[in-house]
Amino acid sequence: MFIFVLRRFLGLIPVLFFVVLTVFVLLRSVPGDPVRNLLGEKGTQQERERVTKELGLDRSIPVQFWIYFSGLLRGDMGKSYIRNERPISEDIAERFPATFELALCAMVLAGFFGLAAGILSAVLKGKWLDYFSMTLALVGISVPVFWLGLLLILAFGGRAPFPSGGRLDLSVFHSFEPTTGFYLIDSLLQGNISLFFDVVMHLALPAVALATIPLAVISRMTRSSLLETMGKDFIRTARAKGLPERRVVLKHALRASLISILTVLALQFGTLLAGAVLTETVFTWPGLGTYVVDAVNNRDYTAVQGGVLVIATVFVLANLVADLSYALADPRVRL
Amino acid sequence: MRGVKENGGEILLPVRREGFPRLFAELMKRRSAAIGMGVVILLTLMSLFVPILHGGDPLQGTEAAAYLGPSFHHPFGTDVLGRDLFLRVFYGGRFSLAIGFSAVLLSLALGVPLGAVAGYAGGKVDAFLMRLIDLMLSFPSLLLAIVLTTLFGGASMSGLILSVGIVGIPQFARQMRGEVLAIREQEYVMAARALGFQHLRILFKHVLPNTIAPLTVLATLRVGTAILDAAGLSFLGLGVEVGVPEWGTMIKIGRDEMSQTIWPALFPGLALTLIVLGFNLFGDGLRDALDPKNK
Repeated sequence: MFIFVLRRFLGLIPVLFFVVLTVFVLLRSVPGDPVRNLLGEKGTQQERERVTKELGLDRSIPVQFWIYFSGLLRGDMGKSYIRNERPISEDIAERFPATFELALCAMVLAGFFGLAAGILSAVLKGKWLDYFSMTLALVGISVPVFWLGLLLILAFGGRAPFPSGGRLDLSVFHSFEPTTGFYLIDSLLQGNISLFFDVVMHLALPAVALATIPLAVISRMTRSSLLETMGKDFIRTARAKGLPERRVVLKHALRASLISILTVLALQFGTLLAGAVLTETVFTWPGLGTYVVDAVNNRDYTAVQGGVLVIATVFVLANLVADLSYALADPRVRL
Repeated sequence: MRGVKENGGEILLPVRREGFPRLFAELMKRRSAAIGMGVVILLTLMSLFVPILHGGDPLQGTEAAAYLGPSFHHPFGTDVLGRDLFLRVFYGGRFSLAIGFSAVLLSLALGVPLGAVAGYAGGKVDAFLMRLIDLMLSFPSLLLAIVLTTLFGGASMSGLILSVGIVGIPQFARQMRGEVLAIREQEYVMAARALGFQHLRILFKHVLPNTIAPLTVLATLRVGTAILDAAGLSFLGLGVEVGVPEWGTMIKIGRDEMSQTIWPALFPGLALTLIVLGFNLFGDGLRDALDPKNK
């Protein structure tokens, strides 16, 4: 098993290398002069020459890539020429916890309610609750997440206890010194309960909006997988033994279905990160998603490059975890 | 309507031999599929005919007051320039639907040959092409689409279609490859090979016709996703040109007016949800109806 996990992790290296290469090549192919894109029309000739040299644009593309790639290995993602030459890695370190915290909260919501709805629907197949939750799930995968976010803001945003956006109330924002960047943890570490409550309330609406699609997918998946298992012989045996139905479902059937459910969960986490781009924009959440979109709009391509790389890396990792959890539960996959 | 009809024609080519009426009956037996198809057809027809029959201009400001609520004259209310939202939502539907269908056609046109070649050739060609597909799949699709929009020079309808279409390629390539791999081992294909037929002939005459059903299902489901992705990009300001009332853009504009009135954001979103729901229901139903196991 250890060898298998190790091999899969080593297999990640070429994937990530090609991800870096792809993003690099794509953004180098953006039409127009990159220096002009960076400095706008205002830049003087000297500035232009300096930036061209600093970016290494006077060298060949392979050399440029090598410079960027070796920088990456040292944790240097270049700097933003649009925002006062601030290192991209600093931005990312600040933005990443915001997105991760939001995605994690959404995942917890989606996992809990998705499982519950799926199990209930499977047990009560054909009853009104089944129809109701499955209809809701179908709507859930069809509704645009940014529109749903707007509706949530319309219904609850700005009314106590829900704020309309951001991660913290402005009154505490400036005095707050984050340590880990995960505000839920930071506020607890500082022993500030009212701050913790403020953070939770800021998280609530975006997390609900972001959770809809994975929630719908997880509940549908749980239902169908559970229904398939319930038709198997060992369930009939368990019932024949006279076990209470609750035990049959939760102990026997659910355990057998858990493999596929776990896989969906891990896969959905990757999708969540991408979905966060839209949710963050709606709730003005200062995460990686808004960072990338702002960078695209500002033509700050070094920043786009950095943000996309980080999101893609986490996405690839989440997919690997999905694969591994599948292999963990089903030995046949490891061959 | 044109899009659906064309698509419908495409779906039914191979099935017609067994009878289009039969497929239609199978579809109609499934209530949700029938509802999905109904919603798609209704919204498509309204997007076509409402702007014609209404007679108003969806782009120019009018005499009507701004931010009116829904009424008999303005079923969806009016926006900041007094433009009728009922007209604008269905006028915008033309763009959303056109973008969705064109993007999926693009994914089909590029993904299917890719998957067919990979599956049929096997070996190194297959390994290379599939690594390429895997590489595309190592980006979350929306993120890849965002990067691609910058490549295609920012906000433009063609750039949007290209971005969303390219992002959809892996699904079609994978599905096609899987189908071809399965069909390739069938005895009738071996027989064709044994008779010394050209590869292309085998591919077009013997393999392709049998992949049309699963590809149609995928395409139907993808149209909904493509419309949704395109709307998301437009909402972020990376989609269509300024002034084109595609649904995502309309929601974006409506968002800025939300302190005044909710209708400009509400109705395009409702239309968007309905059409995606319609395509999802229709696609699911189509899959069941075309599944030989269900006959």
